[in-house]
Amino acid sequence: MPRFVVWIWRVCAVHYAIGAAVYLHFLMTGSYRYLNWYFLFIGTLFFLVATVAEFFLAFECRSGFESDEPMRLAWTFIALAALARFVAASLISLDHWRASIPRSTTSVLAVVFPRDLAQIGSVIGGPLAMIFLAIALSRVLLIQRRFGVMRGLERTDLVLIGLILLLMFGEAARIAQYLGPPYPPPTPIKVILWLSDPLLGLLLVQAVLIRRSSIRVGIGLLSQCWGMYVIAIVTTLAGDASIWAVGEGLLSEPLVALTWYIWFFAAAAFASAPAYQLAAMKLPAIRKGVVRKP
Amino acid sequence: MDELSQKMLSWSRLWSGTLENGEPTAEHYRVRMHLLFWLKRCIGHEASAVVTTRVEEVSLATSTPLLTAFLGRRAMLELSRRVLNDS
Repeated sequence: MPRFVVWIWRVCAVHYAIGAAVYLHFLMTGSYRYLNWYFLFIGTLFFLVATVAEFFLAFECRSGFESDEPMRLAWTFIALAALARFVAASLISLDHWRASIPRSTTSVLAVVFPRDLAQIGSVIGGPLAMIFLAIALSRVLLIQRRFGVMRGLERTDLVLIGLILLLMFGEAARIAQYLGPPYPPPTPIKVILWLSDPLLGLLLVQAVLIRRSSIRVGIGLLSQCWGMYVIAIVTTLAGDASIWAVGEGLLSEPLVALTWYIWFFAAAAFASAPAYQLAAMKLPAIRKGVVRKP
Repeated sequence: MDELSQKMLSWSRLWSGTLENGEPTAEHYRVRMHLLFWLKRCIGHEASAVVTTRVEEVSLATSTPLLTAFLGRRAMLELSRRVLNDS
């Protein structure tokens, strides 16, 4: 396993260990004190570190390709998606800090930043980052198709995609209910956020296609890179589904808190994907020693 | 001049994987083994099947387009050096 990947998952494991201790405290006492502290400080720090790592690794992968090489554009968009997630994590954390300090007209945060920081962050880290990633994955699929690596969808994939489409139509129908006159007109930010689910559906289709191609070429550093994106996208989808379940009141209080932990796994998977690609690109220059028979 | 021409021919055969008398030489075998190792390590253990239908036909010439597309020209240059020069 590449060194960076080992480090990312080590940090993630330590982070989850702290999170598990905090969650146990919450279960035993029912107090949100340490849980809030964990998500507000350690959780935010984890997101910032993971997105910065993802951005730098993706940018390093990008610089390994020359300007006329097709994969350079794919890595440019992946780096942009990582940057968007970093900006989103920063904005959301700034909003949390602003909310946690006493309201004052002299507060720098209150004067400098707009009120809807968290919503702007959600747009940047949600639909915008997803659009960047969808463009990058489309590019990868085109290249895979050119080289005959890409495989078509299987019956189980079609069933899964059909299910996702069904859920999306259900969501669209629910949104349509709130567009009537008794409700206020939706804000532009809200309308953009509605795009999250269709975009996530598109990303899932792309991820499944890439996964099929990875199965075809077997386990190697590059297939593990794209496999990580599949895991990250599926985890994001699980996180999104959990938000929906919480909104519908389907989960009990302890389970609601447990769903917040999903996002750390997605962040670690997103960060470790470019680490695999970078390892594949650097390996021929680094690795010395006797070549074994395959 | 003859020596240079022989060397060029030998390198070109190694690159394309073409055999002189229908039998692979030890050098051909070594290069193919190295290439299969790198294909397996960087792309996947079934990557040679994407490049060509028969393992015997795997050569730098057949694998370079795929490896260059996914690893980049610079990494591929280094990989070719390793395949040809590693003992």
